[in-house]
Amino acid sequence: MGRRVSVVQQKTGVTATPKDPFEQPCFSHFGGYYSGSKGWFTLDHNLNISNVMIGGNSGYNQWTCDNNSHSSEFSNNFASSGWIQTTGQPGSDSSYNNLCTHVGYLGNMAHQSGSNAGGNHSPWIVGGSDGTERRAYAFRDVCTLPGETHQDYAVFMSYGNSDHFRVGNRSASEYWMNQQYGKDPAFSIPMGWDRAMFGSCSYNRKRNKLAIMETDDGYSYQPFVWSDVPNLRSYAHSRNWYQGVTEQSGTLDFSSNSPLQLYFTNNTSKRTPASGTGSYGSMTGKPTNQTTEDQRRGQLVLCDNDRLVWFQMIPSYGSWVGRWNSPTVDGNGNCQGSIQNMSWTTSYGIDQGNRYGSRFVQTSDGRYIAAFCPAYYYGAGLMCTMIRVSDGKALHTQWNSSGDTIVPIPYGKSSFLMCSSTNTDSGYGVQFTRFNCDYRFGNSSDNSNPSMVDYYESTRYMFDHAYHSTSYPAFIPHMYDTSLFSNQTGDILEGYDSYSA
Amino acid sequence: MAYLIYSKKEQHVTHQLDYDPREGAGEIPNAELSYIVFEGEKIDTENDFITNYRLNTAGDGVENPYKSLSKADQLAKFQDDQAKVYAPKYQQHNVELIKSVTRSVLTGEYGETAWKVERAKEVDLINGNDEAMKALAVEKQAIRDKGNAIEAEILALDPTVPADAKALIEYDVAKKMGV
Repeated sequence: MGRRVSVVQQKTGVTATPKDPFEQPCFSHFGGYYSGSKGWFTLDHNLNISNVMIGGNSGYNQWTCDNNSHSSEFSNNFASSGWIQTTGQPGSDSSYNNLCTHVGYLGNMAHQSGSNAGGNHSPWIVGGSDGTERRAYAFRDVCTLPGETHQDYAVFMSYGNSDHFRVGNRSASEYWMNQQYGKDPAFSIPMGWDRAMFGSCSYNRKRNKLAIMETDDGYSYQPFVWSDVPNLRSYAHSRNWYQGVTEQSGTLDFSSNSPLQLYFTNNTSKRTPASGTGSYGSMTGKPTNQTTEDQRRGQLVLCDNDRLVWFQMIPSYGSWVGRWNSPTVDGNGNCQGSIQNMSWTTSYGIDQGNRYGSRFVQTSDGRYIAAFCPAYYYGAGLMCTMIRVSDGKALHTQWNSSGDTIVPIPYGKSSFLMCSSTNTDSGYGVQFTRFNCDYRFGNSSDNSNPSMVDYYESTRYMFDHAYHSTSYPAFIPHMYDTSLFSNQTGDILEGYDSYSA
Repeated sequence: MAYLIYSKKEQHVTHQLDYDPREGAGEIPNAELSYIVFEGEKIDTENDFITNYRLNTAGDGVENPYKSLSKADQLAKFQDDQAKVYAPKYQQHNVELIKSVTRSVLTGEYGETAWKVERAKEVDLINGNDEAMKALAVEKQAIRDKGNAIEAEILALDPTVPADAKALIEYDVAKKMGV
């Protein structure tokens, strides 16, 4: 006899001991070299030390996270290569794990993230080029989740017009397995125009909408927005593609029986623009066309008011940002054209490999998304656009460095730490500054530059690093329970009301 | 009118702002700042590189030393000069690294508890001589010699010459040492 499988709504933990969101791991920084120490310092959202794991190089079992003449107990053997050392600047090499392109919503592709539980928050290296490049597929394809307070899953879009859409864990390693070895099915979303692009969708769960940027593969783009989309987080968690379907013995066909696939197959009427009225217009204003990165990739944000913001790295030019009006709020869905061009010099995207190109991170409360790419070569400098999800307001910063980089890392409820790969030597330690999104979006004009990077040296002498000499640190954003920042902070639990003057 | 942000470390302007980023900041000693802020004409990024602007001789403003060159040549010259900015640090560090790598090999493969040493001691004990340990000492000396030769090679590179400066930045000490 078959039985129905249903999704049970989790009750919020009213009787459970609330966990302090600020005591969760925020990020780790890594430093090391073949003949020296290596390791991670992990900081929480109070900037207190959450965990330290450092290996020396003076004998066996020294936790040096790498197989060399001293520590043969571990499998990786990359200590003498750029993959696992921080003695060179991001600007001078394509393999260093401190490139800004190694960082994104899924952590750092060269480091397995530490767990949020169990007491050991430290990351660990992955297997050099092979491990990093496998995990890079997920960084290439992962899409934004604007407004999402529960960032414990991910949606992915690859290039093409079928078998291109996936939902799953927030894990670059798992995505490799799923995508390359078919451990979970890929969905085919009927295209409104031509084909989807890498990483080019945006799922706004609060609005039950999924935006997809399509292309004709000729550097032209057309956005489409699907309404009444099933709860993708639920699918990501359960991995039951037959939710709500009576269980049967070997007769379920994915394309015919999966409610999520059927939603897309049978509901093209919920895709706009299906007809002209109230639809989104075609892209206008892109400053130049260069390579595969800007032909087939981009970071899309579907805002709460239906505006769309589109960030693209344009290799060897820089980046640009297009924005679309909201059909509901602005009366039309026209593209405003380019709202920001940032240009400098030679840079590389996925045309040079999946480890390169634009990335994004989002604040714990999902209200702000930072899309960014290098300004110089493979991973140096920074071109960053931050987007306010409520209305599509955008701020931009271009930082031209041919040596170091600065990466945004989610911090607290709605801030980013702007973390610099600047040399930790001279007793400086790790250097970063904070960008409070609520504050700076409040006092900065739309499309202005609030200088997200200034005063990164303000943390000098306070945050030690795992390697004693010249070291350009790599950063690993952690994956923690983001929802706690929206439902478990003291002011929320104790019922403090916000004050209105 | 713009605020040009000159990086002391990069030794060029890294970005420009419409406002003074020092507003709202506390009294921070100049030596603690990684930037100097100059007020000046906004740089036209369509036709000029922000990064071309370097400190003038008097140290009280920035200027574009590459102005007379084509845009492509400006970039090439910028990269040459930037390598010269970074290279001294790389030279100093590469010397430290080669000492560290040499020490690591000697203490790792030839340390008191290394199997090679233990084996050599036992071989000498069996044979009633010190030939095996002597052989190890010769191997260790060869490693020291190699480390010293690499150090000399690093020091022979001139960080003020663009080609040498780039070589210093790309110098792979571990690879040179064969580890």
